[in-house]
Amino acid sequence: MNRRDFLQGLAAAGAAASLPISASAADPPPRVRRAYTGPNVVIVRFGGGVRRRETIESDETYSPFLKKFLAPRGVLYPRMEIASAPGIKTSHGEGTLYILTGKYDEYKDITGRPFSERFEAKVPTVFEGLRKEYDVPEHQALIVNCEDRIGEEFYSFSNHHLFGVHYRSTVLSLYRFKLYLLRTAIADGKYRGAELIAKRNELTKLENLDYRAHDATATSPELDRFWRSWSDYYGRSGFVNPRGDRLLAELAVEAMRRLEPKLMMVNFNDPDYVHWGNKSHYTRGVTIVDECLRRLFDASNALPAYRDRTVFVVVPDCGRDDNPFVAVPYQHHFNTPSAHKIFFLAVGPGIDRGRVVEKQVEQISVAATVGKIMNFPTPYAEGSPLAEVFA
Amino acid sequence: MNDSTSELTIETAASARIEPRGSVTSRFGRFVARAIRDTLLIAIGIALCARQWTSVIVVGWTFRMMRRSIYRGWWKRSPVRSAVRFEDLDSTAPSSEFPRSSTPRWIVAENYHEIINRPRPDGGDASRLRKLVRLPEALTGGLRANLRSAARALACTYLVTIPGCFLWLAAWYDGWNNSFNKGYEQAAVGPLTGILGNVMFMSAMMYLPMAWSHVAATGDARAFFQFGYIVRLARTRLGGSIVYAAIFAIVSFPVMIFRALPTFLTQSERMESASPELINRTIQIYAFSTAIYVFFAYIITHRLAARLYRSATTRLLAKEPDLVDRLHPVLYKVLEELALLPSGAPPRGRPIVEAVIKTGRRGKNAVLWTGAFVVWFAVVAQIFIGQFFNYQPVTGWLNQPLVHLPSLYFSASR
Repeated sequence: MNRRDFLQGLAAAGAAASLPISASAADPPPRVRRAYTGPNVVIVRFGGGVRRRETIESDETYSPFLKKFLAPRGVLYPRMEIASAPGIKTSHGEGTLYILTGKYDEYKDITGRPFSERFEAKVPTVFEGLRKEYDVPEHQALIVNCEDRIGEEFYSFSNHHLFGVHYRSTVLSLYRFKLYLLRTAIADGKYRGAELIAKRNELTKLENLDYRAHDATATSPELDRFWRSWSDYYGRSGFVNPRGDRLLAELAVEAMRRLEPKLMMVNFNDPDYVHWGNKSHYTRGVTIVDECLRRLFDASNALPAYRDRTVFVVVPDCGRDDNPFVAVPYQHHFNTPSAHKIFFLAVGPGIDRGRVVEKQVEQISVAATVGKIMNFPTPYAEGSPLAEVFA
Repeated sequence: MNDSTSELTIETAASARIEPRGSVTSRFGRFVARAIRDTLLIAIGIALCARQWTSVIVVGWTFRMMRRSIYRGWWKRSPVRSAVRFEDLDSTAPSSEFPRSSTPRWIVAENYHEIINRPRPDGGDASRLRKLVRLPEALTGGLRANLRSAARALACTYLVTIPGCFLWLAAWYDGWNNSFNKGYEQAAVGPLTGILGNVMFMSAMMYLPMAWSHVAATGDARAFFQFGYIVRLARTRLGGSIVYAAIFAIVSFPVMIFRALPTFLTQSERMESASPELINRTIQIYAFSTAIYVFFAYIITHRLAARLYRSATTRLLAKEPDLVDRLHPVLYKVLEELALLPSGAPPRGRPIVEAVIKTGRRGKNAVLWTGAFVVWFAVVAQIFIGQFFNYQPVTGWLNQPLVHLPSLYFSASR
């Protein structure tokens, strides 16, 4: 072999080595995801933390729509519980993730800060399961969050290597609206010079709050149109739109009109204000959530995309204490038996009617049940689907 | 020693009424009797702290104890100590108010014997009937003295603390009400009101320890309002005031824990579904158990305040002898009797040195005042943390056990 042949052979070998591996193997073609044609599902987190006593147990209920109208039209499990085991907590963040993932897990805030609930799920959520199975765009897999719980922005996707950020849900919240306002204000040239640089940095920091989403787009044209119509109606101040859980209901109804989500979770929270002493905040909060539930149900019956095509799943994130030794007996952070006791209700097409199932079931069954309703697999959920739900 | 000196010694001994020392057995017997008596008195005090309305008696009892402690402390530093026994002073003569021993009586009058056997106006012995008529007064004199003392103490304490405590109640109620209703526009009202309440309460606590002791020492509620004098007392012992505030914060920490603990009582189904009888029994046991600590903590914090006061008084009078003419008459009398009143002006130093020292002292005092204020914030933080864990709607703000009524009793929610 002469020197020219040697160098040519070396160059050819180097070129072959620099080719991507996938190009050199016979890869299977990417899976084509089907369009979703099944029922819409609205998961109502009847939270933050409610007892059976004030909701489904008695006729002297603070949630008459839930107990007296909706429950007789569906399947009620009045004895759903959060399991009692080390590491399982009765709180909002944990309860929400138990519902979304179908798995109990011990969650710790990723920043290590006290009272912060930035948890990362290790197994996929129902949103990821749906979007992996079906061609459902991000803006049609929605979580509607309240403004006080920024940490729940983290629950839109898990760390699982087969799922993750590309199958995530989108979050609608006042926090996201403020991001939209900042983004548009920068784009509209409202700021100049040093202020512009500061605002850009602020926006970058807020959009990258979740380090896992660094390679995903912060927004989409559909979401921008949504927020534009919201701000056209309610203005940009944040003082005109409804507040508290009523805001969540309006965001959810508006989303149903404009975005038509296939799967939506609305994380109500007002009852949790009883933590700070005024007992009436709890019962008033339960009534407000009940009114919001009615609003969502009425909207679903009014909208063609949702009428007779929507299943409502109502479940609390956790219960509350029943402590006679304190003036305000309704805390929930102390793992008492009452805080583990919740309920589950499913209403809609394909769901049995007027049934009460007295057996004890687990909160982690919700994810598998939603998967069965929407016909997508939930292999990482540890709970089983609630068979009695189906007609 | 000559005859006149011997006569003087004998006369002094006679006027001092020095009693001969008893045998070991009788001294041991007196010690045991005293120990039994004190244990019973303390047990009664603890039982009284199990409820707010009975703990009123403990307040008065403690203030009477403080008075004796202050006077005894002065007597120990007095130049006449070796000549006159503490019990033989005019200021410590048996009366319904002044305790005979370091643990006052709860119900029976301190001078019950003198009340019953008081001679007739004509000097003759009282008849049996007259003695019988005097019996109720003698048997309840201690209780009435405790209640009078408590009324003085609590009225003065609430006068300076209730504005701050009430602002807390209003701030908490409004703040969370506003938060629930999402009144963004009024978001600052609750927190700012709370901060104002904090400042008012902390300011009151800077004043109260000396004011408590001054009221206790004089037995006069009006003494509470000698603001200038009391502030001067506090300024004289600023370092001690900081230490006192720190000790108060440490002693009140378990009170915060006891406030919060009922939140954890329903870890079992049995306690969650407890019958009204079990609930009441549990509350009674809990109230009594916490009363053991609260009783002693209340006494410790108030006796410490008394100790601070008595040293501050003598130091202040040594520094500013012109205050003697403005002293409360009761204090003037006892300090005069103990020969603790300063005579003459204090020695004057060099003017330039005095000016430098005074300027430096102003700066130091400013730092110390701020330091004491900040340390009292630790107490405020404990109150708020306790309320976060176990919110008590009214008593949680308006009654702080180591400041107002020494009781952690709470009522059930069902």
